[in-house]
Amino acid sequence: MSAESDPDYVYVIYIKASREKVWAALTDREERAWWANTRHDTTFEKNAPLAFRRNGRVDVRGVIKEIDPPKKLVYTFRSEGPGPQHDEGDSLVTYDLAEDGDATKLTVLHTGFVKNSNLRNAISGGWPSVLSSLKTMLESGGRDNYTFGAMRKSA
Amino acid sequence: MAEEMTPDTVYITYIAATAEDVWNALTLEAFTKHYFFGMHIHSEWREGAPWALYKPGGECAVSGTVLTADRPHLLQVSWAVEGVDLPECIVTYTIEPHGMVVKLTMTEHHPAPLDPAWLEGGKDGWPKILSGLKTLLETGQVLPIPMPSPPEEAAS
Repeated sequence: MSAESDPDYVYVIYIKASREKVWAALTDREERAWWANTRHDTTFEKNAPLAFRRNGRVDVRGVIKEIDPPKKLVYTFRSEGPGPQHDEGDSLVTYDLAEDGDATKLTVLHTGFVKNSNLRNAISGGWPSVLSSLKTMLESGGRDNYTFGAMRKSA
Repeated sequence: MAEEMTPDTVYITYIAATAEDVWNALTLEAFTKHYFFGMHIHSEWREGAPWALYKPGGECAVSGTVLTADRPHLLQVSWAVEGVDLPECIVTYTIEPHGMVVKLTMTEHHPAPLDPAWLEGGKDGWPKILSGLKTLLETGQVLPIPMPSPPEEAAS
């Protein structure tokens, strides 16, 4: 961390599901309520483009930098408009999945923020809601009817 | 006041439960023994009252004073780990309605700069503790992760 950038963001959550199931959910390509009705538009191959599509628009664009199922995924993350965070350039997201007992420890590391980043402020609210929804979905037997995020579509 | 300090550790989780359920899970030993390193919590949960966490064998692990008890939305306690020479910190839980669920925010404030190794203990522990609380309230089951040593042992 330098004085020219905001600190890295890290969120850790433990999920009562196998690492393979957590990986499958994180690399799913259907529209999912638990991810605030987002669809991941990508082939999940190294160097493939990635788009988070929701409500007919793209929220996030990036490129898959590293993929090692079911342990690690790294992608660039650039917020599309609207909002002030969209012109802060590329940040970097890393998922790390580790087995811990009969649960999975999921660590999301988000790095590469500018100083006084609007994006960091936005994702600090976003990751806890998305990953709380993921945990509930997997621990309730895969029912995709939980959206904890503030961005949820009115049902 | 604690509200004006910058928290050293923050953990947010959303739980499909009522605020009252989350308050009970934080304050009753029938819940804490299933997600908080196996420890039993005890207090009358009124402002100025003592509170403590006891290890399964009955030894006190953490103790302090209830600073704010605004059931079921705000609980703030001082937090002193037994057997170590550390200034007490302040732990605050806020429980806010969020649509059909609740948002639980835990903040840990330290009054003075602390050895990063101590902060790491909390940064490692809180996700385990609060992931376990969420699983317990939503499914009635215990999160199957190895119970780590209580914080004062893990950091020594």
